[in-house]
Amino acid sequence: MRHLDEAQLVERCIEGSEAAWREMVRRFERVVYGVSYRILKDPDEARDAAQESLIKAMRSLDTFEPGRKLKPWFAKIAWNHAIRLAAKQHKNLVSLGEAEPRTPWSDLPDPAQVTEHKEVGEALRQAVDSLPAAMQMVLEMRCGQEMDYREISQATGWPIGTVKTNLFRARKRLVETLAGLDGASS
Amino acid sequence: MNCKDIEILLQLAADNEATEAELTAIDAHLDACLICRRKEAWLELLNERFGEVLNPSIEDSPGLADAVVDALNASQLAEDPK
Repeated sequence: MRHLDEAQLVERCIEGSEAAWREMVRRFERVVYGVSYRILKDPDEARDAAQESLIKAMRSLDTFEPGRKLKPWFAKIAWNHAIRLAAKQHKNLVSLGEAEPRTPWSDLPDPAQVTEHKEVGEALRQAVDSLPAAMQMVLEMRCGQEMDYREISQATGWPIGTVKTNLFRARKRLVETLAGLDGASS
Repeated sequence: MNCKDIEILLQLAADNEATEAELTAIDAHLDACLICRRKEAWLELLNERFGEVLNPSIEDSPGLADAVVDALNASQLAEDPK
């Protein structure tokens, strides 16, 4: 099954091949789980949501438009499902506008001063986790799942300009957080 | 181009979305601008370290494929009980 291209795999799945279903899950479980986790912020909830999204996606494969890519399609289903679950649980997704960066680049230190800091990995993890969920999700899609702007736009329903803006703001916020390590490094 | 324009182009370059002309404009600007070289270095640092913190592991959920396949089989049975 690994040799099949996306169109062939979709066809085999619709025909009811269990091996094709397993291959489809293998290829896209990471993006579905990653998006679910960034919205729900809980590994168990994300796993359940990923399972439900994958089932929903597989049952809807006959509506998939040939010629499009599967990854943004799976990501969109995961995003919509996780957003609905988060809303039901009254989880605060925080509007993107609240994550406006504050420090001018000219005030930031040289990154070489924090690169070797032993806590930089943990600081970055905490900084990502503290971003608004939607901003984490766009970082996950771009930097974790290597989706391009167009694919992220298809998955989220945001215009490409909004995708770029959110990525840029998220990165700036992370840089500001890591820059704070400079003073703590000595 | 000013530093604000270059900041946008640096982010496009970090995402492999910049054109050749934009990459050339970045190079020309960076030769003369310490602050934008610093911006570029920060973006490189983030890209290098993202792998450690993004992409939460699905390997902790080994039964996911089985659960999905079971559900699909069950729904097929429900549609076609013969």
